[in-house]
Formats: sequence, C-alpha cells, structure tokens
Amino acid sequence: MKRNRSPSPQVVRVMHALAAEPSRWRYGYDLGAEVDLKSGSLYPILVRLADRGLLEATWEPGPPGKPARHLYRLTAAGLDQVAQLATEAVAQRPPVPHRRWKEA
Amino acid sequence: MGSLVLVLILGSLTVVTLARLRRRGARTRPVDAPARLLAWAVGLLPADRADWGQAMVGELEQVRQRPKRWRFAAGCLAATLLLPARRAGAGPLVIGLVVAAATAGAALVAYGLLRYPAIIAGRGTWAALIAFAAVVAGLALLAVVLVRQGAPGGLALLGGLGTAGVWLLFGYAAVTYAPTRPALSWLLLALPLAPLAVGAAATRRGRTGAAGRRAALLSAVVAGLVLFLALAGVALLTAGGPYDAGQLRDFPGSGFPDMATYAVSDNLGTAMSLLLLASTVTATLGCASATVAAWFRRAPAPTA
Repeated sequence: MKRNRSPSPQVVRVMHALAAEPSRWRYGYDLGAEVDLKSGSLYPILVRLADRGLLEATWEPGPPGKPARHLYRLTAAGLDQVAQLATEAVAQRPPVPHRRWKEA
Repeated sequence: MGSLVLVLILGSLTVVTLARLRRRGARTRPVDAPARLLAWAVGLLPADRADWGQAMVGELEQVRQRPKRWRFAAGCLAATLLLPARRAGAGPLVIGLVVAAATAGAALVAYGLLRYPAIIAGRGTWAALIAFAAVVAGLALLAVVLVRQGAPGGLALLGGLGTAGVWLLFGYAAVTYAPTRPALSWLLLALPLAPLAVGAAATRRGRTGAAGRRAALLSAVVAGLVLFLALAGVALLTAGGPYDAGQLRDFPGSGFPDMATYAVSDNLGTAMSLLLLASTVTATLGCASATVAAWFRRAPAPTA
C-alpha cells in the first residue's frame, strides 16, 4: 500500500519556490541557495519529486569542455500538489475567535 | 609465499573496487579536490541515478569559491550515499546481510582475541588482523557499490550461499571421510558449479557481461563471508577441536601456552585465508563464466 505522508517543511519550501514561477526552469544550485538547503538535502528532495512525477528536468548544454546543467520545474501534477498543500494549510489554520460586543 | 599471495589478492580487490568507483565518475576531468571528491561520489550512485550525478557535476562547475565548492561536493557525497536505486529489488537486503556478516565476522575475531588473549602475541597476528580488517571492509564496500550499480541481489545471494554450502560440504567431507577419495573428487568438481551458474544466469538475465560480472562478484563476497562466519564460529564454539594430527605435532614448537589457544589461532587463520581464497576463486570463475556467456550472446547465429 502506498503511503500518503504529508511532505516535510523542506519539500514544501522547494515546491513553493518552484511554483512561484511555474514556467521557469531553475538550476539546482540557485534553487538550493534560494530555499537555504544544502546540496545533501536538496538533491534527495528533487529526486523524490521527480520519481513521483511532480518535477520535470531537462539539460542545458554547457560550453565546449564543460558539463551540461540540469534544470527543473514542477509538472502539472506538482503544481496541483502545491495548490492542495495551500488548501490544506488554510483548512488546518485555527479559527479566529469572535469577540462579543460586550467584550469590545 | 603466503604473504605474496595475500598482497596479490588484496591488491586485486582494491583495484576492482577502485575501478568500479571510478568508472562512471570520470566523464569530465576533475579540476580540483572538491571536483575529484564529487567525481568519486558520483561513482557510488546506482546506475539508474547516474544522470543525477552528472547534474551535481554540472552545478559544481558553476560554484567559484573554494569553501562553497567543498560544502557543495560534501553535500552531494551525502546525497549519493542516501539515494536509493529506483528499482531496489533485493539489493538493500543483500547490503544489510553483507554488512551484518562483516560486522559479525569482526565481532567473532574480537571475541576470539578476548577469550584467548595469548593469540595476540603470536607471530604475524597483527599483520593478519590488519589484512583481515581491510579485506572485510573492502568486501562490504564492494557489495554496496555492486548493488548500487545494479547487481541482482537475489541471484547473487542464492549463488553465494550455494557456493559457501558446497565449500563447507567439501571441507566437512574432507575431514570426516578422508579415505573415500572418489566422493571427494566429485565434490571438488561441484565447487565451481555455483559461481559458473551465477555468472551465466546473470549475464542471460542482464543481457550483458558486465551485469553477469557484477552478480558474480557480489556472490563471491557473500560466499567468502558466509564461509568465514561458519569456520570461525565453529572454531570458537569447539575451542579449536577436534585437533588434527598436524596441530598436535606443531603445538610444542608454536609458543602458545595451551592447545586450545593454538588451535583457535590456527583455525581463525585458516578461516581468514579461506575468506580470501573462496572470494577470489568464486569471483574469478563467475566473471569468466559471465564473459563467456556474453561472448556467446554476441556471437551471430549461423544462417541456413
């Protein structure tokens, strides 16, 4: 049976950063710097997101003699997941207590 | 002569492990130490994660400051060690078993030294212990690398257990039924069967000689460790007994205080030697079988 765990705060940060400009391809190093994640945490997150079909990747050819760079952006399923996370966050927020007229 | 064989086997193991680590990490020439570290780390990745390794290499190229390059490369090393293969299969189980067996082997030796402390004073004990630790650690590392490079864990585990089983049966028969030569000869013929079968079957399943050789090497690791655990375990459980004629003859000149200490020391040494011998023979036969099987796969079918 597939587990349906809620994503970690780090995963949420990465997804929100990618969802900020959904059509833009992002470099791994820049993304890590933006969400303040070291490469040791960032890459496992990116790999898991890609395995779940939430992230797509492409290669940008480097100059001659230099390695190509990997670029990332969320898939439609990834964007849906971000929207769902936002909905859940709103639903879980504690209700604002109403003041009574007499207390005001 | 024994030392020369030990050095040759250790050297071969080191070369095989380093070659496997370097193979996929060497697409671009590393320019500095962080790049070299990352190139090495990328070699640890499972075959189906190799593109992620190249992604890390591509990003490191953009990092200019040296401390940041070190931090990025070190983080990537941690990531490569943590990333599981996409199709893990029985691989993690085999890694767990190999690491457990290596730890158990080291624990058995440590127990033997505590139970029979006079062994430490024996000639060449420290050299043997250092070599043993290096071999066990090397075998465990080799198993991790092989599994992450896609070696079929289940097949290698079965082949390794089968090979160790035949070795143990042969050893038991040789001790118990020494006069019955024909039976021993038949068992001796059975020794190469398991590694040959593993190499050929893995090549057939993986469709390449490399796949067959990975399975053969992994089964050799399993066979060697299982054989060592069995022999060292029996030596410690029985205090080295029953003593054979050679041990009884050599004990007075050995310098050990009692027969049990001498026999345990001797048997642990034999177990360590067999760990190397069984692993090397199994790996050699399995790799040869895989190479031949791959050659037959490539050979064009005769046309009518």
